[in-house]
Amino acid sequence: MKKFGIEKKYLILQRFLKLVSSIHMITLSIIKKLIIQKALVAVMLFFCFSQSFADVENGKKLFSGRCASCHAVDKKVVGPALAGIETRRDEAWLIKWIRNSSEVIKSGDAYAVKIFNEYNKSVMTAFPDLSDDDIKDILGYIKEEAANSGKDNQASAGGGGSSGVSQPPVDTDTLKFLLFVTTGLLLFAALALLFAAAILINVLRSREGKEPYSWSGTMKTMGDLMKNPYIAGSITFVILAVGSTKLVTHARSVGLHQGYQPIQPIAFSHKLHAGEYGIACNYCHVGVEKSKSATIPSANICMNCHNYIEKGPQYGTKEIEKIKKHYEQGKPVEWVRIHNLPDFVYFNHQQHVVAGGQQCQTCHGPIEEMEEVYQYSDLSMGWCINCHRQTEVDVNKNDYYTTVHNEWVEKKENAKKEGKEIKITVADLGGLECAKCHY
Amino acid sequence: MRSFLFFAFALVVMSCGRKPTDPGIEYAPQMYHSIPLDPYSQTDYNQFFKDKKNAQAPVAGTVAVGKSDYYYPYANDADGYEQAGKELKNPYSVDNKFLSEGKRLFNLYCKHCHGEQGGNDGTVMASGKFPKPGWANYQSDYIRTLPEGKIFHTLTYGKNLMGSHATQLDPYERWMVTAYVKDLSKIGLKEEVKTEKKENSK
Repeated sequence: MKKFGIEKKYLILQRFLKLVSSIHMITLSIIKKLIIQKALVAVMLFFCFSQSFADVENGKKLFSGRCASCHAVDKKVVGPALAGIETRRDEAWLIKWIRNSSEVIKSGDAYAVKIFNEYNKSVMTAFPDLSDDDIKDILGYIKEEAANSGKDNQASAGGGGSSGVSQPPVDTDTLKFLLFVTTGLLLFAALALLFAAAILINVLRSREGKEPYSWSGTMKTMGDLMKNPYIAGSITFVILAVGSTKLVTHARSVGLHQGYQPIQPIAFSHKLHAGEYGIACNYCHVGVEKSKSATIPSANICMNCHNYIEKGPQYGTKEIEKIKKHYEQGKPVEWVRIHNLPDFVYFNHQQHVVAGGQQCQTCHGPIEEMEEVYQYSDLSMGWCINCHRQTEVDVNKNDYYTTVHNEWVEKKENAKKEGKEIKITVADLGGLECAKCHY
Repeated sequence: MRSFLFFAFALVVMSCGRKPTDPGIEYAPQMYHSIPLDPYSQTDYNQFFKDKKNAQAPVAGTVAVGKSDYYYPYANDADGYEQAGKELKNPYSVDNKFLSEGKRLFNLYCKHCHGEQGGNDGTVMASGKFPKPGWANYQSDYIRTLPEGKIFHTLTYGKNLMGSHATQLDPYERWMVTAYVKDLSKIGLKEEVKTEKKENSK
């Protein structure tokens, strides 16, 4: 500090203020650009919608009710993609086809027979109840929808070209990056301000004729504080207390994987599938009622929905394409195993779910809220035993061990006569026997 | 200064928790991971099969002992569908237990699309992400008059956008679901018949 005169310090301050203002300007211009792009997209969308005709609404309704289970506008589903259908066939032919396609095929129309054979001879449902106007509405909707999707693509490409940014809709990655950069800049600014404040304070102190603060002086005061036995003692106590509890918990967690949340090859969200869409656990984990293992679903089960749904809300087409690839190549997905009981413990899902009537969440926790699955319970032996001791068995609804059950019902009634209330738990039915799980 | 270093070191030690991607320390890992090749216990590639998988698919053209009802003669095409509709009948007797089990299975395997009563209003279809079928609900004439053979065929192979559910439901379970679907399709009908009867008695 002694090297610089007061003039020099003011110069540094001035330069710093300039830097801050330029950062401010850059941020402002970025925000402006973003807003202008959003506005452009909004204006284009507005134009797309303003061109619609009244009957397109009817067409949309009919399309989603009658056609959407087999057709989409921009992709092949069960039947062909319908974009540009009005250029491929004339309206009269389309009306005949939609009303009753098998008649058109029977009449020997070459195009009809060709398309019938191309799509594995699957018959398109006849719609004799649709009027000519209805069908025209549907065709109008298809034309509109095809034009819209084309325009959207063009709009995004055009918008990107003019402003020099490749993708106008800002995805989460760039947002995260922007957030990171802004946080960094703010931190830097805060530090710089502190630095400036320190310089200013020292300038003031030197004007008043006092000795300016120095770094080594500050350190010395801190060191003096640490020499105080009360302060040093209490800090040591806190460190020892926290450290020893940490040590014990670390030692206890050897061999237990509680909280383990590996990165999986496909970013599958249980929160979306089981939580939002309410798909039952059994739908995919088929084996849970039939075998020792709950089973990881094969790719064909995923394809029951993802033959149509190609775009997810979080990762777009990226993650769903992976499962498609696995399905087409017949290669299983190499998921990373999360829950692993040691090889010397026998555990059976069927026994717990069917005979025991347990919910998946009892052991696996709030799976329907997990974006990525982690191991909820510690799966230690103490945890197993504890549950076996506490879980009451509903003897009436369960004929798994009839004879043992009856014995316990008798015992329970005898105890009742003596005025005692006993619970029949899993432990009472032999749930604590060593050989129940270790053999 | 020394006390400072001690303080900093202690902070570092205290803050080092396990990362979620780290499974932690395993004592004697040979006892944790099965040495015999079990399904889902594969720690390395299976060296005995060409495709390196532990769980193998059944050999083509074979039927395992006790699985004879997996044999299904109808082909996965329009002709097979029609034929199954004409010839295929439920081999099991339908009673309350059969239907209640069918209901349980329906709620596990069908409800999220087709809805609790087959109104195509399950959470997935209601979200609009997956298109609804051409018919309105199970109570529509289309499903009411649909032969059970065709329903079973659809469950086995899938139809239109609905995929095959043969890997999830075994044939016995498929018949239970079929019976329950038929039962659901009669919902409005029963009431109509009842009201008709009442009107007649009046």
